[in-house]
Amino acid sequence: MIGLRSKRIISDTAIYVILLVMVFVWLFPLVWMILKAFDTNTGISSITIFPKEYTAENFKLLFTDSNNPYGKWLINTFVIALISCVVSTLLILMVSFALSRLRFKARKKLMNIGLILGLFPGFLSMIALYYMFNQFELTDNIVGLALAYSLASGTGYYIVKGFFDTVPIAIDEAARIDGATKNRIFWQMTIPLSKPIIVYTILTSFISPWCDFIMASVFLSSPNNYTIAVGIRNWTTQTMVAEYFARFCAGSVLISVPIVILFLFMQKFYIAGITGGAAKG
Amino acid sequence: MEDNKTIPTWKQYNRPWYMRLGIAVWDYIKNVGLMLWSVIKAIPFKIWALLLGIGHCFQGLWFRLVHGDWRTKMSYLIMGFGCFSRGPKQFLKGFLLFAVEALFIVFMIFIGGPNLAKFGTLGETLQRPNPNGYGFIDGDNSLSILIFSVMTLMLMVFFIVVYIKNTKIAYDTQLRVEQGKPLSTPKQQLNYALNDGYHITVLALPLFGILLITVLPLICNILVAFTNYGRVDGVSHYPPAALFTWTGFDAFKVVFGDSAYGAAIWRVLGWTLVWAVFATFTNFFFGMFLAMMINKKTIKLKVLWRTCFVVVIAVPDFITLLMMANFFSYSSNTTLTGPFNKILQQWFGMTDTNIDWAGTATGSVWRARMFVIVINLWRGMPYTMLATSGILMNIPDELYESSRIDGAGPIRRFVSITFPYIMFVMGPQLITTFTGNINNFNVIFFLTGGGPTLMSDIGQPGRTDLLVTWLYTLTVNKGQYPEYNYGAVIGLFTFIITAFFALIVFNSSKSIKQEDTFQ
Repeated sequence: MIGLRSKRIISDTAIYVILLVMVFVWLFPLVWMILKAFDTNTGISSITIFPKEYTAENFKLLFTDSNNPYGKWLINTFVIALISCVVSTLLILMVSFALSRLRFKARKKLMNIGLILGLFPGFLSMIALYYMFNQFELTDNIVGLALAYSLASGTGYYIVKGFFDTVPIAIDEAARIDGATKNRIFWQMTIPLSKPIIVYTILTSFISPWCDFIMASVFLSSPNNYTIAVGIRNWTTQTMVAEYFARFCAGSVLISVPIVILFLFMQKFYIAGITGGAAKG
Repeated sequence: MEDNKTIPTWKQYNRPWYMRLGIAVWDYIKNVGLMLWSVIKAIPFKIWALLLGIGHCFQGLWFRLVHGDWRTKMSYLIMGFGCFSRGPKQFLKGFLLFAVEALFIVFMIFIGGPNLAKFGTLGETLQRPNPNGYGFIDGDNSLSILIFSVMTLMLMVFFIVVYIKNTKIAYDTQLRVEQGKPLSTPKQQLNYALNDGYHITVLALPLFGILLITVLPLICNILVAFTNYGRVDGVSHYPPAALFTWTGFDAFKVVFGDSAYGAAIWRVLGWTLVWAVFATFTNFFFGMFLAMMINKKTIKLKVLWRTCFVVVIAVPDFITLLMMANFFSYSSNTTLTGPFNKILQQWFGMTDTNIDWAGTATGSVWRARMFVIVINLWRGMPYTMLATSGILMNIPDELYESSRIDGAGPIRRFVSITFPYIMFVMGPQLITTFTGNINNFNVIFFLTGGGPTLMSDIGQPGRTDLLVTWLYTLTVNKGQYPEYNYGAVIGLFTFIITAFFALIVFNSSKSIKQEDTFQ
């Protein structure tokens, strides 16, 4: 018995050590970034690993430097995220409901087409899309970008549909017998019963504009219309990084904190999305 | 025949592991082959069915025209006539149909027709200087013609469907009147939209969005592959200053032929696949082992450990990636080099260490490739850890206990229980991740920007460029002379590669559907 126990203690200790080392490796760059955000030396080059002196100046400059209006970018991204989140959530819920609860001729075909569309590289269509939006003066325009993000979001029905599939169909049938229309079932039964997955959809579609760079960089050209990603990415280009890197860190820390908190809330849905989706095929 | 063959063969415990692996791989390849064959085999039947369907539509059209009364016949000219001419109950329905026709005609006259007429040539009139001396008089714009023509064609299909539906409605209304049945009231019609026809109500807006934002631009950009939209043989074809036109397969010949593109495309494809394999499998295996360590019964503070890693994926990836690119940055000046080199110098006493980890500044291909794979591991492993943790918690304890009674050691338990269980859930996900990695733009773009570009491949993609980042460089990031046509060809090529692997997903998830024995 003692042999077994000591063996376990050894293996556990080994695991703790490995985990500690890994956590260190994984978190060190992030910690370094947070410290760098407070550095008085604003460039990437420095003699020391950690800052010599700390200051909150970088954070202050985010909101006072009129050439790099971080505050404006923050508002832009927030507005885009808000519009896109409302539109996407509605569209995804509608598509998921149709594909999960309703039976009609083209259902299977639509699902397959949705899958195939997902296989094209995203920005293969971006040039034509840009031109189209340009015709309606929707480029370099945050509403236009929000629409470009959200109008086609119906293809992302997968996880929500999987959730709807697990809501017992008997509930719908009972409601049908009581004379409820399908419309009523959708709004008053399916949606209230699916709160967790709706929260998940809202959060993911709210977060994704904060993380997107390509589409935003193609669509937006004037600094006043930038989103956070486009704006602070400029601070890491070769010419800027020598002076603005600390500010990039400050700007990143500022938006990362709320996103990380939201993500920690969502992680259980993320797991369910993978494991549930796979089992259902 | 399906049942025996599609069950994953790693479950045949009596064979050694390498044989099981071999059989599994062989089955995969065989199944994909069969799958492809069945898809190809079905094509002629699909075309035949489509033709048959179209024939059927016309037959119906003709039948209703012959047997319809004058109101029905009129609705072949004026849509909705069969409805609104039969009394106020049907006004709304008839009016909507008529509105579709009116709008379509207006659209065709002002936008559809003029653009479609030039679709064959994509425009011939160049813009010319204004004789007054200010600016230009607009000529044709090939891109605008292309986009609006495709839009018109899509609208025409939609219109034809509504048109046929209109004749059906008119004829059905006629039959109801002849049989003395009451016509539907507006309330009933609304009820249809909320009940039996609810899928149309719900899907109309999302489909409109997908068609407008995804399908229409996608078709246009695929068509661009068959034009000379770009700079061909030193001549620019950029509207509105110049025109572009159809050139058939010329762009394909350039990309796959004897040119700078032809020289690079197979190299880029090769690296794309190598990258996708390494990125997928390093993440998968290391993530799995990490999850197993954290989920070991006797390990405490599980949530804390997990959260530490999840924080890394919670930060938007353009931030973590740009930060990492700078964390490993390099300067030829040893005292001013990036933080990671400093750590080696100051903490580990390697005083003169100054390594270009990202490989872009010194042109080290292998260091650059290792770099993107390793950083991708840092960035992506927590995803697998999260997913696998969820699975591990679901494995019933009895399985382990009974195996322990049977005398199975930890390795045996991993090979026979844990791994098959994880593969069962993660298998399809793994291939999806693989196709995702083929198109993984962010990691490459933010870490190395596709570099290093060697002296020998000036004007070609860099050594860590994937097909997608190359596509980006050619089109969005090319500056003065974007190569939209070649970009479109490469985009199509990427799609075919991705689709090939995605077929495996369909295939394997089908085979797993049949396997309920595991649950």
